[in-house]
Amino acid sequence: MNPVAAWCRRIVNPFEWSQAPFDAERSPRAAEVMSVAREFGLDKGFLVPILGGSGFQACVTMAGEQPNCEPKAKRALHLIGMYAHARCTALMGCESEGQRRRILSERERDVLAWTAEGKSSWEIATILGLSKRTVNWHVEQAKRKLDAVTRTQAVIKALRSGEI
Amino acid sequence: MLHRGNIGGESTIHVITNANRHLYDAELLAHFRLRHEIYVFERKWQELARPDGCERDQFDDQNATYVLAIDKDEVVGGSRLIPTTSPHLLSEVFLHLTSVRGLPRAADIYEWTRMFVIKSRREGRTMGEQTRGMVICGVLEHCLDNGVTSLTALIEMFWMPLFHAMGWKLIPLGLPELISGEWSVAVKMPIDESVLESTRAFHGVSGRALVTLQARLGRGNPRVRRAR
Repeated sequence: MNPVAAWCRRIVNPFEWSQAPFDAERSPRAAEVMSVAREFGLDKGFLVPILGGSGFQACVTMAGEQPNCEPKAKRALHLIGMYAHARCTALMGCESEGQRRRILSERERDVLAWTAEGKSSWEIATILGLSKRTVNWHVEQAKRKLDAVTRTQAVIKALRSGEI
Repeated sequence: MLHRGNIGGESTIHVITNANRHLYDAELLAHFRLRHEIYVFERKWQELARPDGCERDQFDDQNATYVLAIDKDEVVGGSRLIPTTSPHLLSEVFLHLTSVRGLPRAADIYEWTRMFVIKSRREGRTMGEQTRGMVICGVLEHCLDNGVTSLTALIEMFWMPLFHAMGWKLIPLGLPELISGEWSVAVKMPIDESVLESTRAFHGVSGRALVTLQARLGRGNPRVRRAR
């Protein structure tokens, strides 16, 4: 249980590893992770979170025995982290934000998009020229694929992941 | 698909300069009000608060150009461009952020500021990215039409990955600083047709974002207004 990895998902700004909170008594594994890091000469570290369209996407982290943690150095590292990530994603030919893999079908996305607009199944059926039963079936498929318990949750998840 | 277009609404992108401001009185006022709502209330940049509820600073003068996304008379997004040969944010207020590389100033360099999209058009692929993408493409098209080769801007660090993903090149002019609680950096961004192309591809925008001159002039025609 890496406290630094957990913290970086919750925070926008770069931080020193020592700023990632954990309770050594309640999370002995977390304390162990940090102690093992020190054994490898990673005494102090600095992490730059990289945010994508829907929140946390990646991070660039650097550490050493006596890294320069002066304010000016940290600001430069913030910049370096951003460019390092951009270069790596370019070199690795990673899927850009615009080419995210979609898991919903066109119809499932249509139905959820109209649901997000406050339309009922009956209204969506009229708009799309389908039967109400078919509309509900698409909703159920979308819920299953997005691992959502309710229709509302499915809409929220679809919005967050950029499906709609 | 036709109905998908209806979900997000069809925004058109308009460029407003000193020459055609008289055609856009209502929209410009609406945009200043939206800037106030978004910058003062949402982003909490208290120093921009104004008693009249319109966010206007000393650079909103005859030298400013506005690129606005308008959907059926409603302003849904926009941003501002100022020639770097005139006084602008980086030259007058944030000069210290350009201390490493210096302040770029030339007839073919514009400063790009006050970018916004209204809340209801921000989420999701069909609505949010489309409106933002259209405004950015409108900015690029207007600049390229006018021989602008670079943009300067003060951007929050967390926008950098997005610009990189869109295929832009960002040249930092100084180290990041905390501005209104967010780490920000002054950058110079060279622009050309390939940047416009990659930005269009990223947002799924096909074709030109800016409305034609005819459509803009038609806005001043009272007969056309009543017909809507």
